[in-house]
Amino acid sequence: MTISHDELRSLLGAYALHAVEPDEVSAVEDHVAECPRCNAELSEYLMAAPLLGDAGGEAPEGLWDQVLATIDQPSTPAMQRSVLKAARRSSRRRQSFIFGTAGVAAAAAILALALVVAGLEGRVHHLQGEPASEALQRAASAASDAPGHSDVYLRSSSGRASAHVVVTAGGSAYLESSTLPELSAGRTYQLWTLSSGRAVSLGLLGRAPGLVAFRVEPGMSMLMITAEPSGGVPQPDSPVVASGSLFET
Amino acid sequence: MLTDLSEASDTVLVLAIGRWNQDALAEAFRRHAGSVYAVAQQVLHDEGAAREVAHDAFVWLWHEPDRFDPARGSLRAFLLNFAHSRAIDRLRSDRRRSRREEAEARSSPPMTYDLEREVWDLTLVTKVRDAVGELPEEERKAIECAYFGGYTYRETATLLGEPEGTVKSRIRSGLHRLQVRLREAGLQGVEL
Repeated sequence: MTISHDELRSLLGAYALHAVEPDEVSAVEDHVAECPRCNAELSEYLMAAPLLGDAGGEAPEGLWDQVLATIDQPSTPAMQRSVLKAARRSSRRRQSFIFGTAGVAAAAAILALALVVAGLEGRVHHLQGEPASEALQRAASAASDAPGHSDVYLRSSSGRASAHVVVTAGGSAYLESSTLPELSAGRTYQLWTLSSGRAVSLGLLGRAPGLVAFRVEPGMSMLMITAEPSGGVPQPDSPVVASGSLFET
Repeated sequence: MLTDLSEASDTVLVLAIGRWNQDALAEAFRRHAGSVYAVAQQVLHDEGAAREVAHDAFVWLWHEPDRFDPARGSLRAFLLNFAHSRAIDRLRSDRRRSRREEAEARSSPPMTYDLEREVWDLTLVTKVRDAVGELPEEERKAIECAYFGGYTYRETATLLGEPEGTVKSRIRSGLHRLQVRLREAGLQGVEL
């Protein structure tokens, strides 16, 4: 269905109120991305429309503690604090690196990656601990719905998809599902990324991987999963059971 | 290094959040969480659901600060837009609407949202209220029905008994009028 410019323009106000029909949303967004005039008009609406419901007031008691608990979950910020703190001091944390990076961004990516590698040297992290919280599930769901996200499928040597990872444009990644068989006691799946031909541990997934969150940083090109002794290993010591490229989705 | 985040601009806060500065997120929360919650609550009329939306807004800001573009509006508008969008999604997907419509039918006509009953205790809030109140009634009704009721423009047209094109036009002209008045009041392009 082709919608004319005038028709799309007539939808801009409704779009700013989240009131266009679901099947018209992408048409408006695609058009605005290419039409400077409509883009400017929508920008004006988006400065005013969100304020309509601003009644001020206080946040509910305990809400901040909930937010803090979510962003402090061991499965996500453990890596952030232990590894990325160093990286963020010297480079912007987020780049549009997943689908092409150049110039300054590439330079920053190299620096960030170097720090990530240094931070992970000899370490392993438990990505999966307790069952995924509702907040983590909501975050993963939001990532799947977010514009610009990419789906990365990790496949076995036979080509069968073994795990599905959603990566947002900002680098938040969620291993959402896997068909990997449960390992015996004393074994764990371990998630790796490949950079410059070198495997870097991203963390442990447990015997039966469920929903976990991790970060995809600039310079990472591939995700891999191996089966290792519980506790993990600094460098992969077993055949790769599934792998997928971050650039081919 | 920031020593006093309470005096930092919203843009600086977002940059700090991009570097995993939890104190910066806390300051953004202190400034805007009440408004974010209020938007969700006004759409959902459900404290628990509104709380979840507000929670998700700040977790989202933590993970996706790059989505904020100061050239396209204030951080508050950015967060409120997220909250409104998420609240509308929930409203449309979890059948809350049917229960809400029944409650509204029993208590009041759907188009009589009473702005005066809200606690407009901030200058911003007061000015936005004034600007909305100055809109021609037909524009205000169309905007309020879509924004607070969570109805699409087609549903709004049906509810108001107006042609779809008329409703789309009224929403656009109303929003244009609103942004002009907010700009005249000095409320756009500044950090709220």
